[in-house]
Amino acid sequence: MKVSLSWLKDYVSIDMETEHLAEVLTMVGLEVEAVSDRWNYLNTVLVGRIEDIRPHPKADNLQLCSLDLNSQKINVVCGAPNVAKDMLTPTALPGTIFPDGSVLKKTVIRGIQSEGMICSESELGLGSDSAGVMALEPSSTVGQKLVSSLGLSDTIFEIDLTPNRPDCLSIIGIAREIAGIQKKRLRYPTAGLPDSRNEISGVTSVTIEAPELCPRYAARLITDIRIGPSPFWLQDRLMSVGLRPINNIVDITNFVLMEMGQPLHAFDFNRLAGNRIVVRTAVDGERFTTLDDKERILTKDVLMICDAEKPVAVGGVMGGLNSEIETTTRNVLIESAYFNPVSIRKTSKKLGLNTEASHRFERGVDPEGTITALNRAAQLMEEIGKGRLVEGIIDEYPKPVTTPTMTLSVKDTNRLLGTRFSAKKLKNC
Amino acid sequence: MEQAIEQIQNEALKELETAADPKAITAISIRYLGRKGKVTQLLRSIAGIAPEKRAAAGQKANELKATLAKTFEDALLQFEIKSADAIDKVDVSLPGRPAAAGSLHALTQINTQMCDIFTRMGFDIAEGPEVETDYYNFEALNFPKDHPARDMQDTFFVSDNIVLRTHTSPLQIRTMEKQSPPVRIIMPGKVYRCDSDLTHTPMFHQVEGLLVDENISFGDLKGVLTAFVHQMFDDRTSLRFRPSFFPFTEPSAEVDILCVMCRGTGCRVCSQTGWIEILGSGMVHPALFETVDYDTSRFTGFAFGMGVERIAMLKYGIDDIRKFFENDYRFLRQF
Repeated sequence: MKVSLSWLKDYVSIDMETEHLAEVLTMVGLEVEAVSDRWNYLNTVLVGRIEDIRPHPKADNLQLCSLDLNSQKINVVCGAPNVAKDMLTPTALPGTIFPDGSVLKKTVIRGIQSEGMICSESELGLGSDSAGVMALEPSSTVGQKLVSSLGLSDTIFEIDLTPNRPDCLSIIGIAREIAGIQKKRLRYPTAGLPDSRNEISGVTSVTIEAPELCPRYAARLITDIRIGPSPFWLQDRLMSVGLRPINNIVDITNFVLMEMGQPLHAFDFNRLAGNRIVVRTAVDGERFTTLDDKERILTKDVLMICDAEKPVAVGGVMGGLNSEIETTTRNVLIESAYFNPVSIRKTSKKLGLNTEASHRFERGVDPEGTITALNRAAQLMEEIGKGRLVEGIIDEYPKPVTTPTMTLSVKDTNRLLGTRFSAKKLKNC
Repeated sequence: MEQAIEQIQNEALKELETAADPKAITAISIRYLGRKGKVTQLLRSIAGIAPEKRAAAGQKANELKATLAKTFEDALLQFEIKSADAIDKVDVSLPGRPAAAGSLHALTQINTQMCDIFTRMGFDIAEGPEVETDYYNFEALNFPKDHPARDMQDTFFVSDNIVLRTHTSPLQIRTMEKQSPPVRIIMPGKVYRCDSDLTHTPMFHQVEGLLVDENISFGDLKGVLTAFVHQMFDDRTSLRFRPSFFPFTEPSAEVDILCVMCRGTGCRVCSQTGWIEILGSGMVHPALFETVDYDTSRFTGFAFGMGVERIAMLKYGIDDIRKFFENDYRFLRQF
């Protein structure tokens, strides 16, 4: 699992050097396999000053820009509409590997040699603006590396988690470990939602017909949402841990998944027949097309999330194409549930579908974290999607999961470890 | 006529004496007996002789032809016998050719060394089947069906309930079923996982240890493994116990040793960390004792397991595990 150091710092202050943090995490059982510099790929991108702009002799919509990089001058063919003389802009040199995977090479564009590329925010993975090249502060130093100029720094830890630690399958999960190591408080994000009325139960309902497989299912409804790209900070968080931004609603569910470890699903509410959710097992031979556009043939032990008429998602594994969020979606039902780990694992194996959601559900998600994550997503959708929250929450919990009580015997601990710890010492560990 | 015959015969015999090899003999034979040979021409000339002398001359000429043919043939045969003799000649005084002596395979040597160290500490060797039931390979070792921990080992399934053992750990259960504590065993053997690259082969070797008795603690585990590493490598090789997870031990630890190449300063072999992981270990999970009816309030134990190939690669500085199984003579002869 990829973990961003700067994201961790949203929840816990870290007073250790990166290298030391990696070692400490490894020594508490969260093996850090690799530590990398998030912005490494921008090392061949420099601050350039546009010295001169001439029209391309053979193409009306291209221009030739001469760039001053302090130590050298290069010529670049460019199609951006916003280039101006003396503008400072990020200049990528040949060999740069962009976030989309393409490698920059010296090329000839319509007969003219281009020795580099001046870039937009989105091309560099630094923003969503792709309309023109990125304009840098006039006070930036020409020839300096872009990362230094913008003060970009983040470290990505690749952590190999053992199957007994599903509690660490999120940024907050790892932050909680760090807080424990440093004996510091963890800062949980708070969601202040106006919930004075129970408006939602008049609009939709959830019926669980298979409580063994789905002990808890909670939902909220947001209306009048505007679907669009997420703000950059949100896209940036997702990209930092290797996820691709899609649209604001999907991005928010993925963000909360990564932040809290609770998989969520967003349904287009208007596409749910009867405007309600029924949780049941599939019928042998039932056919269903998942979000990846593949038709699946189901068996009677597969748990399905359905509307009044048809399945709309493979519970805890993958959503369906028929209720997917589209650009025209206005109303969104957010699902936050707790599914039976064994059932999810069997379904995931049977369908050959291993997703971020199934990976967590089969290892065990916190059944008490369902509502926190749901509220967090609802609040972000209200804020970012400019939606209206339908007040109230649906929380069907027919099979309460009892939290086991663990007893730790001081005597047995010492017997097993060959130590002589006192009860007081063990308590303070 | 008679004179001519005698002359030809003498010439032929004289020439034959100078012949050094079978090729030369054949050439002479052609010169006399060939289609344009001297004897052939002589025989043709008989037609022109006066009838009363013709019969006698013919007879003599034919005798000459037969004599020469036989002579040439004998001469050729002599050469053949001579050269055959040269081949068959045996010098019985030469020393005998030595038979190439093989050596034990590198893995056999390391395996023996490892087992020797543990048997000197009082462990007995235990062995068992490579084709195992799901029960012994997983279930009895606290890997329930449909548990994500099963993903830790890529398994070859023979059928739904039969697997090629993924570790030598089934022997822990098989031994404890048969024997009451104290148990002190070392379990070497082949194991199978569906994996193949620079550091993995579908078949590899493990050496596993199990010790169950009263008052066995994690401290004993550390002591035994430290003694092992110091004998296998040297006593400057320190150990690091890192918390980990295995379903059949609790607590569990992976054991790293100080990098044998760079001694901890960081190199390519240890990915700049200074440490190299060599084995998994831990205190036997009480669930296993319950399975084999051991009294968990009385007995505790530890178990550990390591790959023989991994140890051999570190000992000999080999970077590709597949070399052990390619049977390249140039590789094998070094051990």
